Amino acid sequence: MVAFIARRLAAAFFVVLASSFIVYVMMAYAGDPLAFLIEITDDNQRRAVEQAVTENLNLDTPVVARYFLWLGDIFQGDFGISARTQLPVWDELSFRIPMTLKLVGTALLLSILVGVAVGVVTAIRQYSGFDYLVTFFTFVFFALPVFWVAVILKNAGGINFNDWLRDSAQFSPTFLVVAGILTAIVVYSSAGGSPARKASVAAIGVAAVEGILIYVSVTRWMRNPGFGPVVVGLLAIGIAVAVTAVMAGWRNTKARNSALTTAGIGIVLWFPLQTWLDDTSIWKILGLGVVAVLVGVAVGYAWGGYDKGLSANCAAVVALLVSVVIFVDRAMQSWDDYSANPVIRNRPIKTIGDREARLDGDFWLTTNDFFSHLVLPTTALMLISVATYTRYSRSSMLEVLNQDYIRTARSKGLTERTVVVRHALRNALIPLATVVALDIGVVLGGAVITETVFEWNAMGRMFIDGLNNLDPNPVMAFFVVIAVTAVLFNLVADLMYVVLDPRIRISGAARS
Amino acid sequence: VSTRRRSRTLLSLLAVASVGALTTVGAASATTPPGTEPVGTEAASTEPAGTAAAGGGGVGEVGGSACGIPHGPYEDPGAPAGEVRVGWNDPLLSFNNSTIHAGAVANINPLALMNSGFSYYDADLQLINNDQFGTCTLDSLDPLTITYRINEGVTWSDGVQVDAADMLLVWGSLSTIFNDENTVVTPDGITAEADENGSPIVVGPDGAEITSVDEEAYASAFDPESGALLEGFAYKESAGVSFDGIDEFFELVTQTPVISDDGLAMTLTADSFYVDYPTVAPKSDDMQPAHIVAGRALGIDDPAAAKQALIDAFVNDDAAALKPIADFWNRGFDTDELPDDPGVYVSNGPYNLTGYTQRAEMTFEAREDYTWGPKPQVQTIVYRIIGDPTAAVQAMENEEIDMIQPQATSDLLTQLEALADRGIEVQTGDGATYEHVDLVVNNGGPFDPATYGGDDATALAVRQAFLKTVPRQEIIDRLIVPLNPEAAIRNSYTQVPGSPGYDEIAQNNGLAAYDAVDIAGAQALLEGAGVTAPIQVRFHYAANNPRRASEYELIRDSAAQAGFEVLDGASPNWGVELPNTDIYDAALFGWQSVDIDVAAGHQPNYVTGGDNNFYGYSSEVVDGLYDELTASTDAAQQQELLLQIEQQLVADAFGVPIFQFPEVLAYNTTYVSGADSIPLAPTMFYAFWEWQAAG
Repeated sequence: MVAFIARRLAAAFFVVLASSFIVYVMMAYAGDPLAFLIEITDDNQRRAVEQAVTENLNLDTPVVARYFLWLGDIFQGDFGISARTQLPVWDELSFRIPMTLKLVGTALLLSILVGVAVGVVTAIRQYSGFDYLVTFFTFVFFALPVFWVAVILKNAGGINFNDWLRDSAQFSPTFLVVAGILTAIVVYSSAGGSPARKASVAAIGVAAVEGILIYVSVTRWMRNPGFGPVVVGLLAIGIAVAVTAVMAGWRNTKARNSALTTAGIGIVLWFPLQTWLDDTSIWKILGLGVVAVLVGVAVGYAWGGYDKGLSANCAAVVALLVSVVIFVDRAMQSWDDYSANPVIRNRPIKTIGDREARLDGDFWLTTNDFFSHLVLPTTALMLISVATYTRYSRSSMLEVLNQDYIRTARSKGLTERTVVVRHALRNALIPLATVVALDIGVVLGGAVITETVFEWNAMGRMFIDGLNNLDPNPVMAFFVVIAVTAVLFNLVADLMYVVLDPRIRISGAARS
Repeated sequence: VSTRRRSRTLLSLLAVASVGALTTVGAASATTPPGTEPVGTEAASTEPAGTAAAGGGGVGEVGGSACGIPHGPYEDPGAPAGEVRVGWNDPLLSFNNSTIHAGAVANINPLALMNSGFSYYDADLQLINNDQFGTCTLDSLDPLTITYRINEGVTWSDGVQVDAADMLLVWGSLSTIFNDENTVVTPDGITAEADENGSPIVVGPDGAEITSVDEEAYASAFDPESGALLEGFAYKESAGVSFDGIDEFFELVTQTPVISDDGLAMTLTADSFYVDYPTVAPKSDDMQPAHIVAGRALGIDDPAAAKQALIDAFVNDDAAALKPIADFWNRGFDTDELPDDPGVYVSNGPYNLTGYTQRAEMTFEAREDYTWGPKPQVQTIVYRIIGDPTAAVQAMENEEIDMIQPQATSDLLTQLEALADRGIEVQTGDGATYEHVDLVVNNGGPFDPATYGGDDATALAVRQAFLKTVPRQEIIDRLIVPLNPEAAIRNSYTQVPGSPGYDEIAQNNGLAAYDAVDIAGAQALLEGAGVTAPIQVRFHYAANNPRRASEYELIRDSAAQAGFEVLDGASPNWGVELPNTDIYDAALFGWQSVDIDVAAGHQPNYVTGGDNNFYGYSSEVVDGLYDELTASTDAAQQQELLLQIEQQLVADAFGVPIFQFPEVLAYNTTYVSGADSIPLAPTMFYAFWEWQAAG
């Protein structure tokens, strides 16, 4: 294992080295980073700047030698200075990295969740109406330019949504009808069984969706959202049931009881948490999350049984998800405060920037601010990735479903759910590890545009500015961060194989 | 094993996907910013301030104001309230806008909010003296002597009185006389002290200085083959006081100014007359806090002591003290976020800076103890930086900002006008920049007499013929009227349309002859001169500017009818290439006005060897008239001289001005009223004290 990681790290090191060399040389031949000197009219000043920049960037050294000088600095953690501003690149990079991380991380996580879920469903319902619908839209998303999507999103999801929220916060009858028809199509085509069963499932689905929409509309829920104890309770129980079904199977009574107990604890805790959470911080929230997971584990062991570990895992996952529900519920309760803040002007969804610097409020206000700035750029960035994950997880799932061991499982008389969830899904996820690793690069590339359109002063912006100014150090700093990230994720992907696929044993010596 | 193989195929598929993503990046960056459209960079400005000033009772006369019309006390509009959010495309990069490297419009706007100054331009482009801040007295015209006095009680936001030390810093930093002339940069890039021959002084192994006066000793310090210094020898490094600032007027003040006993006034005497003296009094973006500069540079905490140290340094020309002062003045104010040192952003005007999120947003709060000038009515001004014009319009629609002044394009205007039902009003008008075509007369091209064996008359006829074909009205109708319905041909080389002197000069200078395209006339001129078609004209303009490309096409098609073949010389580096007339015969670009002055703005464009006269144009008449103009103290005479200059330029077919850039101002009436703009920096910030936060 150690030998493997060492070998991969060594290979990765040379990959980064070679590619950084290529980028550095290309950057050097792209143009003169000192071209802007022409704008400085004072001779003394121009000479001083020219000298300082030339010295710092070693512009008087041939390109290849200059690359190695740069490399030497990088190994000492020195990213050099920008030719244009003559300020250390690291100063800029250090505050931009978290911003990019926030954007890219959220987009990546959500696109994996959504993409895999949709992909798996389309694989199970291959050639259904739902499958065709999804296929159609994935190709549309593939084809859309990010900057255009961003403009459209700002208009629909930002400006029009804010207008709607302020003017009525109620759905029009047309909207309800269209939503009903769409739900009917999606649910009918993704449900299984006879046409009659599909129709009845679709009818239930439509009724549920319309019910929710009408409730939201009548109570103007979007202006003052929140779940309340009843919905939190229903969600918690739903989570417990779903997690048990997926992880352990519904018939595993110990796991089921653990999950339901944990959910029950969560529901009870909702009441005191309403006041406990009023004054909080990110650390308190994270701490509570850890406590919740530990409680889940404890509950799992308390129920005992021969498979205590599995019960504990189930309960831990339930605890975590219920915590998230409670967190979201509490954040939603501050939504109207946030919206009514004079800085926000009752228009909560923002089209520029990553936060309102002037917003002065508690943790929940800033949390709402965080998400209201994040939602549009994340969505723009997600669309293409979601399409990728949908396609790959669909084809991967289809391939697995055609394997012999799936036929064996089915012929054993296992339920379809067990076959799909326990036998097929896990194996279908293995190749996705590689896709995720590679997608990191794509998402970071997309972030360059997204950050520009949404006016985020993050890493991608620095890269674009550096490129326009022919300024090598910021460009190289961006490149190094991206390259190292991509390479590391590839390594992580390889290690994930071990976790996901028991047939693979990574070690120095091959086994068969 | 099979799992692994599959992952390889995925890898190659994905590689294709990521290449696709990269292509998009390139495409986006190549097509992006209409906002960064380069306008002419150098400053050219126009109108004689004297005309306006002379009427203002003693302004421009000895004993009167030397920096515009004194305003007198301002009305108190009451306590400021509410918030207004403005958008701008570039971030402030320095709180010192006087340095050459950092001087930019993006700094001027925030500084206009933060600081007061001796004068500013009003809606009629008149120079107004804010006499509640300070006065400028014209003590004498010969020699030109002016006393700048700052009123008692005018303070920096840290409570320190603004006084003559701050004025002395303005003079010292811009006069260039403190800059070390004896500094040369050696071939290996070292800043060294120069000897009397301008060669770098060398220090020998024994520590003795070797100069090039002693040729033999000097030569022995170098390797005869490589020319490099021998081991043991070194260049004598220079302390190199170098202020990165320059001003034509302060350069003329080589005598140390006199500071009054109370320390609030500074009197300076220029070595020769400077006709544009009214415009040189520091405006809101022209002063830096002396106590901060000297305090930080020399490590003095006490403001009074720091100011005294600064005065001493300048008065005694103390290079050891001036070096750190210059260094701090040059770079100490450069920042793109709220500096850790609050001294860097102290201000002396209506607003205090309270926040600057890096390159994203600045917040200004009205200063409570501010009494010396127009009082603002808005408590908080939020200044958001939005580079992409589409993003700015959408942010405006989403009410994230209340006011923008984007680069005018017809798409943008359409988008903004569609927002009328949201209470967004759009104002269009003239901007500060004017478009023009100039002809090259020194490159052996079609407009150069040398091409016709030195025959001036033939070259003149060809130039006139070409100018007759420039479809000025059509260019305006097609490209500018959609953005500014009031747009008209600009018919002056020196005057801004709408300024007091414009009409008379435009009617009489002869440019009106080129209002309409005259193909027959052009052909007749060419025939008379005996020049045969086709005449090739290499046409130089900005490559990334669609409007100039359209102008080029219109000119090309029109000129073709008279027998000119206008060749496309679109260049991405057009600005840098302007001095190289070997590559073009005619240039199309814009000059931007930064001040309303008599001569300083346009003199470099038209005099022989002027900095902005790239084309080899040389006229003894024009040079002589400018000499008279720069010595003239009488407004009527100045106006007459300007007319004569323009008539000569027309007679020589120098080129033609075409139109004033259109400018668009959009503001949301739900949140702000009183918004307006002038065609000079700080454009929409020129009278921010008229803004009111509505709603």
